[in-house]
Amino acid sequence: MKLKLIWMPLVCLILGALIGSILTFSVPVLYAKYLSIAVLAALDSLLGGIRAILEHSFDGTIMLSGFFTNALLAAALAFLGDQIGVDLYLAAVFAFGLRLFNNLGYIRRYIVNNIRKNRIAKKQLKKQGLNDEIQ
Amino acid sequence: MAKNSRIIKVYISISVICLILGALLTMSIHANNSSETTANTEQQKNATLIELIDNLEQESADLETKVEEIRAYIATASEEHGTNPEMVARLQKELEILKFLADQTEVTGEGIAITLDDNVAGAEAAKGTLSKEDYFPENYIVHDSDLRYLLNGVAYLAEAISINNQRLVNTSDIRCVGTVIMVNSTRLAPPYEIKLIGPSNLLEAALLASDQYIYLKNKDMPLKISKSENLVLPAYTSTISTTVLKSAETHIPKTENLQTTADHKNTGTASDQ
Repeated sequence: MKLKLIWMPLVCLILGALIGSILTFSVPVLYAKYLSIAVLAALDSLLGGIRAILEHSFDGTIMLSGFFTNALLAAALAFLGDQIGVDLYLAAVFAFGLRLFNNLGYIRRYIVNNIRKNRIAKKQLKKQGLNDEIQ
Repeated sequence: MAKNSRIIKVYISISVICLILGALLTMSIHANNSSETTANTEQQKNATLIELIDNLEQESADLETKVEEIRAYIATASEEHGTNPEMVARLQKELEILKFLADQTEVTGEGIAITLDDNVAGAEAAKGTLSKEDYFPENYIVHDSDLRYLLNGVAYLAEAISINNQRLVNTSDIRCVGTVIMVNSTRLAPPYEIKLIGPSNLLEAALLASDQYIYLKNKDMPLKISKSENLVLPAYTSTISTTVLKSAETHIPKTENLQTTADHKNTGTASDQ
């Protein structure tokens, strides 16, 4: 069940890529930065979601709403920055980037710790087995 | 079972985010690529422009060398024939006269200038008073035939004629091309200024007596006549081409023959006297 489901996000990623390439309305250069912010927001939500799954605190509604509000705020910042002539969207890029690396760090630590735990558990099992044999 | 449905929900939400991410990624890649391609087309445009400039420079260089060649040829030719500068001068003078007679030079002299314009005021007034069926805009503009008939009445007295700086020669045409009049294959626009060099008093009298003048005056066309002591008419600049025209004499005399016949004529006239 789990093995089958793991393909679902990947399939959706490819599907999304296809949709994006089929929707060939060319984005004006002026809005390229809004698009990049949206990409960052989506990546951030994805990594945050994976982290939440690993922490057993995942909530789909919170993740999706987080994605949309974050993207909206970032877009608003970019728009404001355009109006006053300051690159405010860099603040959003910075925040998203920071969160990306934070989440990635959590995930990495969780996986490494998990592997270590498993190994120690196996070793202990082996030791126990040896002890049992000796005894 | 409850756990399973929760897991499915998790995957669905993650999948939605993945879908959005994929679409956004490809779109931004698209946008980036398209901006690059526009830069490329601009570069290509510049490249073609540069090529164009290079070609034109090459062409002008070629022409300059040609000019130099021709100058060198002239120098050698004048050296070869420079032994008789008197003849060269005479030939040049003859050439000037022939050009003058062939309307190839700017000329000046006394004459009259006729300015004929479209009857704009009349057209405006007619538009206001006449109904749509009775209003004919062609009644208020100058037609090619107006100019032709006007010239017919006076041209026999003129020694040189021009319309809006287009010199009339024996092959000139006055034609109607849509909304404009064409003279010497050049499009002219109103007001039309006809300059005639000739005895100005006779020209004026002939004009005032011509039917076309009376006709145009009755139509209230704006027509002005001014006499001048020194009108300046431009040279005829269009091409002169003869494709089938030949001299009717049985043989075209060679230059040496011309010389002898001229001599013969001279002696003839001398003997006559």
